[in-house]
Parts: sequence; structure tokens; C-alpha cells
Amino acid sequence: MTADLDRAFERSATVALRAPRYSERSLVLRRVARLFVPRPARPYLRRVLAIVERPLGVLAARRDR
Amino acid sequence: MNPTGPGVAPGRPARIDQVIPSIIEHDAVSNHTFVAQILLREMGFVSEIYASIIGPGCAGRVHPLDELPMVEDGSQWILYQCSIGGPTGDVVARHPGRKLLDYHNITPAPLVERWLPPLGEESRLGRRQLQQLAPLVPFAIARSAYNAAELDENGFGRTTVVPLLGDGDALERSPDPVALRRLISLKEAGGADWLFVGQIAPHKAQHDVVKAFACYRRVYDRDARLHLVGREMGSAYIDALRRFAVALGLKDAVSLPGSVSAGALVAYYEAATVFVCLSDHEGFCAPIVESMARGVPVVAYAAAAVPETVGDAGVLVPDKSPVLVASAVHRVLTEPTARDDLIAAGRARAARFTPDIAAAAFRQAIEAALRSP
Repeated sequence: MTADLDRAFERSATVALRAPRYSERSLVLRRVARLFVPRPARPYLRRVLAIVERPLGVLAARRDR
Repeated sequence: MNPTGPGVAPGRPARIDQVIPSIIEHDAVSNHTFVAQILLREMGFVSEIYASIIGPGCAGRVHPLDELPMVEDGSQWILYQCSIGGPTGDVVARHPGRKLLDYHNITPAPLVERWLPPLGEESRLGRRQLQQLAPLVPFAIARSAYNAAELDENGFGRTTVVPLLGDGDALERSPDPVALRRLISLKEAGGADWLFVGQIAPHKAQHDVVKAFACYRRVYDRDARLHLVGREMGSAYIDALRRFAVALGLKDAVSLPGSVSAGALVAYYEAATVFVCLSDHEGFCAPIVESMARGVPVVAYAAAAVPETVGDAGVLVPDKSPVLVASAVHRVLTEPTARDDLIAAGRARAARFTPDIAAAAFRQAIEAALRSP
């Protein structure tokens, strides 16, 4: 049972550590962007935001502090 | 670091200012610092708090570190609340005043760096700074004998142990009625309520508590609940914890309410059947004492300062095997008199760490520092 539990946590940890984490600034940017982007264009929102966020440096681990 | 030496010759200073890397509400080290300020002022010193990072709930009570006065005539001493590395340690080392260190311990980097790489770096820096501060600090205060031993290893000459300072009212207040009602209503479905209180952080090992809890539910009590109270340190670890609980089918049984008010915290202690601590590293572990004071039996992993805090008033497990922890909890909750005996022993143990006793020890330590050559 112990080994099963260990493996299960490692799987969760691997997924969580791979997931992108966004700064508060980024989350605000996303909320604001959603207000102005019409629904048909929403599928492209994530890609556009990723392009905008990188130079702004808002996709960052700073939220981890 | 550019250190300035142990400071100007001893004598009674006009002020003892405290320096701390970061300060935030609902945090044991921060609360200790605020209580220390009250005690220092009662002892007749001017005393302000200076921090690099001033968190929510502390504005107006704490000054930015760059406003720290640099008085060179010996009338200002510095009490450094040390729990992590950073620029604060360098500022203390450069300060011309006499330096005292209050050591809460520094979480070892290997326990956190996988989840929070910057914190790992700060931890390593903190331990380097500790060694650099040793010859500059004639007197140090440690939260536990475990912490004092670390200071000795790092070359600190004189150390004394002072328990964590606390707000006398914090745990004597009534439980938040709304929170208590909600927690009591959960009990109607039956099952034990496991509780752990502390930052949601990898070195506090809440994932090991979840493993033991999963085992306990499977073997002993399918209706049991687990409450992991505390603010998250970073988002990755808590994310993993949530995913883990879902993967084990425990989404509804494991709650992560975050940081809660003092009244709500009392409600959690009131509703808890057992407090389970499987931390890999604790310099003292105030929630263990809080549990004992509120009559909650403690089962804890014997690591770092935990055995010293628990004493003979809780069940200490030598390893974190989920089966072992689950069976220890089961015995505590089902063996006739075991629970009552542990509660009685816990209350007696907690009485050794009351705010009054800790405050008296702190005053004695400061008086000893004043006499120290």
C-alpha cells in the first residue's frame, strides 16, 4: 500500500510541477483580456496571451514565493 | 557581507530594534516578533521592527528595512529574527550596533528546492550567513534545544532556549461559531477528524499525512476527514496535494481551507479528534502545543525539534509508514483511556509553554544578553 501511495503522489507531483504558474499580474491580465475578447475569438486567447506575457515577464515563478 | 564585528561595548542600550526578513499576519515567527516588541518596550527599550518584506496585516506596525537606523554610539542593539537567508542577514552583519540573534531554524534546502527553487537558494544562503554571523553575535536565543545545538555547531558562543512567544488570548478565545457549526455538522456523518495546522509546504509533508489518512480510511474508518489548515507556500505543492487527494478518491474528505482567523482555528481544534504532524523539519512546532492546550491528542513523526516539543505527552512514531501512522492514530482513538491519558498529559505539557512562561524566559534572556561581555 505504501508503494502505491508513494507512486500516486509522485504522479500528482509531476503534473503539478509541470503546470505553468501565473503571477498575480498575469491573472489580472487574463481576467481583463477575457472582458474584451469576443466569445468566437476565445480559443485564440491563450495563445495571444502567451505571446504578450513572455516579454512582460509575468509568467513567472514569483508567485511561488 | 562586510561585517562590522560584535558591536560597540556592552551597556544598557536605549533601543533594541528587531530585524526580520519578512513579516506577515497569522505566522508564528511574525507573531513572536510582535510579542517580543511588546516585551522589549515593557522593559524600557525603544523597539521598532524592520523587515525586507512586509506582508498583509502588518502595515503601520513594521518599517521597511532600509529605514533601519544605524546608530554607532552603542545605544542601539539589533535583535535578528532569523529563519531564512537574504539581504537582511547582510544588513545585520554590517550594522554597527551590538547584535543578538533569535533563531527559529532554517528549513534545509533539499526539503524545499524541488518545489520552490528560490527558497532552496535562500535556505543555503541563510546557513552561510548563520556561520558568518556567529563571531559577530555574542548572545543568541534559540527556539528549542534542537535549534541551540545547531547554533553551537555553527560557532555561536552563548545560547539560551526561549519558547515561542505567543499571544495570550489567541487560543483562549471562543471558537468562531459559524466555523464550529460547520465542522460539527460534518461529524453527523460519523468518522474521526484528523487535523494538521501549518504552512502547506513540502517540508511540513502534508502529502505524508494524506497517505496515512488514506490508509486509515481504508483500514479503520471510511468516514474520517482530514483538515490541513494553513497558507500555501507556493502554488505547486498545494496543487500536487489537491491532485493527490482527487487521485485517491479523497476529494471530499480532505479539506484545505487555507489560512484561517484565530476564532476559526480554535474551531478546528475544538472539532479535531486527533492532531497528526509528519513534518520533516520543525524548529519548535507551535501547533503541537496549541493542540495539547486545546485537548487534542497528538501523533507526530519524531523529527527535528518535534520530540522535544511533544515530550512524553503524545505518540511519537519513528518513521512515516502510512500503515504505522494509521494504526497509531487508531490506537489513540480506540484504546480505552489512551485518548484521555494523552489529553491530560498534553494539557500538562502545554502548561510548560504558556505565553507567560515564554515571556519570562525572553525577559531573562535579554537581561542575560545585557550582562554578557
